[in-house]
Amino acid sequence: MTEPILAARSVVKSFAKGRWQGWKRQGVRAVDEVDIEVREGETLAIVGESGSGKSSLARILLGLVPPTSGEILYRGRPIEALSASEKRVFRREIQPVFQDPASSLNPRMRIETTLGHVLARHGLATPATMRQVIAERLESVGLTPATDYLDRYPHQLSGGQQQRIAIARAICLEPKLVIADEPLSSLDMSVQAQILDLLIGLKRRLSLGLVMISHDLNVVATIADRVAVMYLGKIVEAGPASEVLSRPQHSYTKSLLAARLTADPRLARQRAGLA
Amino acid sequence: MTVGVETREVTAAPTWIRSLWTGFRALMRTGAGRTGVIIITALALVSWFAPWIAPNGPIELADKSLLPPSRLHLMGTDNVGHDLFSVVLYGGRASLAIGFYAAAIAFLLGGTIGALAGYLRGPVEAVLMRIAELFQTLPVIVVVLFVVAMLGSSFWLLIGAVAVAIWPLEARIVYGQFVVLKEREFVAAAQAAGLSTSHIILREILPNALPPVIAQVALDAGLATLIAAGLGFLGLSDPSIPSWGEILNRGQSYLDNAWWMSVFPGAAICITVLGLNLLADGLNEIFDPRSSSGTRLQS
Repeated sequence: MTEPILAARSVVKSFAKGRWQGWKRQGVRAVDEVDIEVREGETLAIVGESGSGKSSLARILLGLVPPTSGEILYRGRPIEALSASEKRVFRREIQPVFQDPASSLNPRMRIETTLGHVLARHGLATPATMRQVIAERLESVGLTPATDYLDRYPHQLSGGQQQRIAIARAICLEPKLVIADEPLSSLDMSVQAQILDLLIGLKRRLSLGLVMISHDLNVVATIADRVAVMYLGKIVEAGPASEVLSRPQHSYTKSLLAARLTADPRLARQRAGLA
Repeated sequence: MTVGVETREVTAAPTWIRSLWTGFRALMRTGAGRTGVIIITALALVSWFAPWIAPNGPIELADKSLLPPSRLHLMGTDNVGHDLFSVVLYGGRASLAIGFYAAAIAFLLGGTIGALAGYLRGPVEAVLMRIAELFQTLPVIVVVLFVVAMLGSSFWLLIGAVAVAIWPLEARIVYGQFVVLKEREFVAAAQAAGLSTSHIILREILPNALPPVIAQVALDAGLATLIAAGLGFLGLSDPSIPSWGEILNRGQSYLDNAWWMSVFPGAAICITVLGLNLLADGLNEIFDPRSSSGTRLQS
């Protein structure tokens, strides 16, 4: 079996909050002893309701926020032990897509500049080829013709277009793993389907690994190979998607599945335990 | 000209000069901003061109002392016999320059400290922001009195003193902006792409942090002018350079028989501060996304 590209080992993140107790304030554990791993090309879905620590976990996995304890392993090595050049590869291979597309693009930067900075940082384009490379990457996320977008500012685009740009910024670095934190939930229903299709297509075409953080079990069922269910900062259940979604073991997973939206009212009543 | 046309102009040539021009035009559409720009421009021009406008030199003896305003001496003459109109014009140079330089230095110093504190957080934040608070508690006048007593008075010393008094204001506002913007997802995305800290501070956060800071700088330039005039009034300004505060200092002995010596430089100070405050109001209005002109600038 291949080595996981990214793994979390007993990761804890606590935030000081609430009452002072002597010298220390009571900590709230947003992420509590989490162990997960993702292999190349695999899609891991992390599900849970809002406030269950999913977004904190995403920032820790990206190496943006240090965990209070535990460690993140990139190809088997703790990320703080990486050398400068290894860190640079890590920063190229693991890329984020965030929930709010309006906030994930710099409002005062043209689209071309936003993508240009990251491409230049990793030497993926020279000044001469830059515009061409950016245009190709934009077209690969369905923004055609790319010339319509290069000189725009984010606020001149729709939410769906902004999210496509954010995805283009992530995949333009040819990453191995994309960590998508609720990438659909601030978009309209119809746009959600388009972006989901785009992610599935990219995953297939680039054999991309994906950590999909979501509260929408319908989305998870469509895209995930494995599912980890997060509740109050802990992973309460994990396993292959088909298994977790059809034979949930933990009561929290069962209630999540019961709350899932369906077009069939009879099925909905049945799931809610009313029929 | 319609709004749609402007939007396209910005899209076509999005250089910083173009956005500056768009911002300026939005500013000129706000009542306060337009008035402020006109007042400050007029004062700057009149001071700059003082040698051509003023009937006499700033230290040239023009007539008998303490003559009331007349057609020959628009603002009368001072206790020495200078033409007060000329001295006020030349004095504007020093007063405006002190306000401008002090605000600029305070912005650079306070902005750097606020940005570092807001970006790095943790112990750096604790130390830098406590230093800023310490400086806010210092009574400026006393500090300057002390420094002048030690080192003697000079133009640049006065600017330094005023900058020391107001930099914590800039530090606080830049700090507040950085704390908020640092958590935004575009910053996280830049960090995740391995972009350097200097890139993130200067290119990602700073351009978004600046609008409210610029308005604050305009406001603080007014404050700086006021503090500088206050120091001049107390006799702490460089006596060899005419300034409004310095005229006020000499005028206080003649308040009951030569009102013009206090009223004209006093009015000049009031107009300057008023102009800068109006300018700051206008800037606040165009940068506020909730105002109608703010929406115009954004779209």
